[in-house]
Amino acid sequence: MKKLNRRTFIHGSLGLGAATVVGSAALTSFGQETEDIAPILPPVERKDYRGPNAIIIRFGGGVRRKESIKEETTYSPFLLHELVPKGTFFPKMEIAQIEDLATSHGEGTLNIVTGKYDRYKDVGGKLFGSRFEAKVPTVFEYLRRFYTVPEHQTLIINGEDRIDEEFYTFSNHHMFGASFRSNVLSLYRFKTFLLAEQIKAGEFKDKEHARKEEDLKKMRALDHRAKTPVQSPEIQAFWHNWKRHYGTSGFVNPRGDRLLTELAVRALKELRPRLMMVNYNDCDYVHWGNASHYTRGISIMDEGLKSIYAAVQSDAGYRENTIFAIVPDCGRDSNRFVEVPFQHHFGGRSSHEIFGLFIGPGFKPGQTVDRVIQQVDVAPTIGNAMGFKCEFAEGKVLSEAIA
Amino acid sequence: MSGEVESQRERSAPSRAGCIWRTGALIWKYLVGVFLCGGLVSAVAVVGWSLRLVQRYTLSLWWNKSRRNGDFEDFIGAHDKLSQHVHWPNWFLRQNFSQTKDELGLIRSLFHSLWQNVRIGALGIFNTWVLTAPSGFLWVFAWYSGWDNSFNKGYEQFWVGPATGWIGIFIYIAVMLYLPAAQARQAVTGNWRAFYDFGLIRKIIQRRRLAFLILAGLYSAVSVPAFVMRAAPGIFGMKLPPEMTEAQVLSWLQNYYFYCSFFVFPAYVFLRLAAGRIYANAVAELYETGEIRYEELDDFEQRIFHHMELTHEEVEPAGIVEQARGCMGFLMRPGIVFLTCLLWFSFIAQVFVTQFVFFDPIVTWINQPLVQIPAFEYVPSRLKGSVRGIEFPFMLAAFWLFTIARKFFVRRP
Repeated sequence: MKKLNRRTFIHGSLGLGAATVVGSAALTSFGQETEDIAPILPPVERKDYRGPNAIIIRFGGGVRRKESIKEETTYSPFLLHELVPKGTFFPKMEIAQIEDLATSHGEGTLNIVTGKYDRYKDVGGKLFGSRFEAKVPTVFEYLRRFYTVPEHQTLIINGEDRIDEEFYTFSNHHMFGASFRSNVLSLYRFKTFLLAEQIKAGEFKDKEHARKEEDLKKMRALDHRAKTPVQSPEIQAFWHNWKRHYGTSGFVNPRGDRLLTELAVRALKELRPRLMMVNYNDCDYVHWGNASHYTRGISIMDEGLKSIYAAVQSDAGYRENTIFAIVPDCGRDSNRFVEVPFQHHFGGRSSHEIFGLFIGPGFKPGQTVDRVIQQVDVAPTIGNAMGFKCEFAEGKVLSEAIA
Repeated sequence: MSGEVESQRERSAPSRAGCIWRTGALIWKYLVGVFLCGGLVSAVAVVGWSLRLVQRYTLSLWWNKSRRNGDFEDFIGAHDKLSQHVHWPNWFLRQNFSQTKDELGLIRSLFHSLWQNVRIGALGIFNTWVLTAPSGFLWVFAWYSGWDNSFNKGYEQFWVGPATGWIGIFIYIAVMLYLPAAQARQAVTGNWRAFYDFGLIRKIIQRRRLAFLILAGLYSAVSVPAFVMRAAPGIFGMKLPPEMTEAQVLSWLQNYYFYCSFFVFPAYVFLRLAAGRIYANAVAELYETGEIRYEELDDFEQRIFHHMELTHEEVEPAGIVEQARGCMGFLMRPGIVFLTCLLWFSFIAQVFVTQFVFFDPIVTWINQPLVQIPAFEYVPSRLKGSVRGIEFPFMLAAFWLFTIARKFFVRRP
């Protein structure tokens, strides 16, 4: 963080004064461009963004190195054989062994996007809840704070099983926050959009109408920090196209992690995101005992990775201008004392052991860096590639990867 | 084995020495029971031994109710077919070994009790599984199909797994309302067919609703440490040195489950004895009041009641107090049944919760150590080199084939 000197303080105070007058009038809809949002923060000159696009692949929920990047036992051949040679590969990335630091999906996701470890607790106090709020900004917020990137071009593609992660779009940091939030594409958001449309079109009558309105209110209220619950016009147009293509039954569109791949590929075409994160998760189903769910889940992610990479390569706007950061949210245990050895909540060594791969402009191809690095190094490294500094991150820019 | 021989001698030994021998015998029997709980096959002998112990215990309870004077052991010893119950059942040696070893020959006498334990245990577990295995297999299917469907996002058939699971749960609860009494009846009568005396067992359960409610609570409470112990390797396994070899891990787990059996074995026996006590008291009361007739009793029970001179009395018409008590009981019945079902549900819930922490694909669903076979061993299949429990159905089938063959081809003297 910049040191507070007299000049900065005076500038900040003037800005704060101006913002107090203008701010409340400007904050009408979170779908609007941030130019409309008055600076209640220290003024930053926001530039047009001309840097590379970035796609973060959360290769999760929870994979061990053994089933992903080890040659003899991999279930992700595209990742290992096609992508690793194209970028800088960190096979010894890990999640730090800090007391009470959980190795799990929500925590890992926030480690990746904020560049800081934290002992997250569910904001509602729920026992197994993962409704976390980051205290420091995410890469989405950094990007939108410093560049004029609209909200619909910073996306998180989220699965239907982890609704809590829908709301990792912004931190509660006083200098960033909701004004610079990203947006989310997920089945949950589509259902919310659809329900709103159906209510608006008068498809429900009487008591059913009241019930559906109540349902919609609950669905929107899940994001208790949102100023307004409606997504931007661009996202709504996206959902219109989705609905036109796949209908409304939910039985026609791809499912599970394949759904995330499809959302990502369509988003690339229609929304042209500058920064996108895809939160794969289905391999986590191994929690309930079926080992093939783990390995099959990894294979499905690998196929998704292939589809997204192919979509990027076939798009002139993305081909030479997109970086990939592929990193698991966490590892999995290797508990030989039980029938199913790969859970991830018990702090085993392999649940901390992950990997990182950076591909694209600004990163050295065909390089493997065989030293131990941290999961929190991802955000500063992406920031460096995209042209902003993650000033509140504790991770470091991975200089070996920089071309 | 020396403990069993010594327990035969103690009757004629001075009292202090007898006490020492009894203690030694008890420790011996306890340790053998713990050891045998280490595998599905060996634990069948524990089932049989427990059933024999319940039979002895029930006889002693009925003796306390009888009008005859004298020592229980003296009475038992005086009857040929009951003399085996003078002492606690043996694991290996024929009962009253020093007096009876010449009747069957030395070799057969050395292992007669083992054969009895296995035979009675197989009969016991067979009947128990007739009732409990269907829900167990429903759970196997429900868990697998439910999670497989969730993974594949088969929305159209989302209901199959949960519905199958719930059907299994309801069937299991219904079975457990019946099973403890049926197991006790089989133990007491020594007759596997008596397990299916639905009418009589129903009367016993109705007579002792509150006692069976408490028994359900005991099952649920006692199973908590058992399930914690089962799940524990899933948690602290991560804290052990990762350099341990597979052989060391296997050895560690086998030792761990052996020590767990120090709790599981007595817990299993305790629950059996508790059910036996409820059964014995209920039968005695029902017979006394004429609600069961002499003809409804099993042959064994008839002989016992005859020899012990347990009679039934003419019951006077119920007075106002008895009638009021009867009404209160009638009103409370649904509540007691509901609570009993709830307690059995809490027992089942532990099975499911443990599967989340420490998943076992098949054995845990169809075998709960406190209900079926008290085998407490959950070493992962890959360490043993075979699917856990796979040997059991083959052993059981071999046993049944042997029993049938023996019945047809071996002539009794």
